[in-house]
Amino acid sequence: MLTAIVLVLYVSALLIDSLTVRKQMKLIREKVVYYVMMLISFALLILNSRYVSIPSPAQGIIKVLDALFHINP
Amino acid sequence: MPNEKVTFHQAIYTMIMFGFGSSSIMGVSTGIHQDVWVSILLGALFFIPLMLVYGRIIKLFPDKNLFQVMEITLGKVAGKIFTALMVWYAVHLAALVLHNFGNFIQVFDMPETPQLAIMILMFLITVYLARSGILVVGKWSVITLFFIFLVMVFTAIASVTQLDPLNLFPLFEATFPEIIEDSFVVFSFPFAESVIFLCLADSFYKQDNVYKIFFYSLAILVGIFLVVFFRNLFLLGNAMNDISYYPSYTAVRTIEIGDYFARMESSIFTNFINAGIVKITACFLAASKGIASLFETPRAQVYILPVGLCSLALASFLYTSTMEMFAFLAYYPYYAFPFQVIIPVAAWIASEVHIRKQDMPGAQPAAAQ
Repeated sequence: MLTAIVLVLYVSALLIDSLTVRKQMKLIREKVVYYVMMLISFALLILNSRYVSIPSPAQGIIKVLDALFHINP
Repeated sequence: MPNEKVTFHQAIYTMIMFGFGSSSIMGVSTGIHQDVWVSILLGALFFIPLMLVYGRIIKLFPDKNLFQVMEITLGKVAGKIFTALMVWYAVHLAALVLHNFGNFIQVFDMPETPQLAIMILMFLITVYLARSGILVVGKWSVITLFFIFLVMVFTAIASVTQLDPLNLFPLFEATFPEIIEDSFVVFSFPFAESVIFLCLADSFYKQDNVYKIFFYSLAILVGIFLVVFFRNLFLLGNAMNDISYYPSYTAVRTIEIGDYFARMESSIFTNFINAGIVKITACFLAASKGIASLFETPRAQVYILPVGLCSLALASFLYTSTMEMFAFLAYYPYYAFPFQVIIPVAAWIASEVHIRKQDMPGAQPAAAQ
């Protein structure tokens, strides 16, 4: 079900947003940045919707800060 | 993105709504129990010098946002690195608020609904608002702040008979280092998060006094936080206030007027939605401006949806539990310090040097300005 929601979200986004902003995007790097970000977020959301475990950046941040400042919550 | 600008009052209201965002339900720190009011005041006091730095940067480079200022003053390479860092911070902050929202609704209202589905709803609203521009965000803030004040005053008055002011005692039970440490937490969350407005500084009118904008919003926020804290403490007591993840919601839940008027906690929920929307939208706008600056493209508006989707994706796997989410709060001030203090202060010092060089006789005017 979640995967379906994500797919609907992206199809709608591509249909509504991409078609309207495509005319505004004159530069190639604009399009590249736009679609790369869409692709990365899509991959992450699809993986999440399939309950694939993705390492959280919060854990990495906590480990680095613990090593630096020895924080004791 | 059309170069829209917010008026003086809209800027103040937007900053208040931004600051109130997550704090409306998570409350400000409860690390030092009944003495938190001291850390709210000290946290605001610590923020004043930083506020002057933020104001000075905007004053030195009116009509420019932080990304443009950094490129002019720090050079292309350092400017781009700092821009990338600030973009990450804006995306991460939006993800944190989105996750708070999803978690809060799931815990209290919809335990069976996946968080992602809840977050998508908030995402759609905020992306729409961000695409509508900063002016619409300003207007939204003006309207909804009135409602927030109304709820705050109403809940405070409605709870008068249940308040126990003795919960404030003993005063100054926390040690001085504990108070300072807690003030640092309050300083970084939520006061110094207004660094996001440096990224939107080109949306302020040149003639508006930015120091006043920052100062008035800070003063009103401090007032709101004190009222909310005292209400929660007097209603719940120390122990309950400390263990509750969402103290405002829990406190207002206990309010009853006679036998017929209760369940006012939905008003707190509405406050969170209204203020949270402004916070997430401001982060989306800041991040999209940062990406446009990073890749030197003229239209920031086109990146709002991809930025929003990246934040949504990040929010979906940020934490696995509510406890994990609140545990991160202890690390947040240290994590946010470079974004809230180091980068703006570096930009300010570089700006002062740049302006002085410009003022020297025979200096070439910078092409970028």
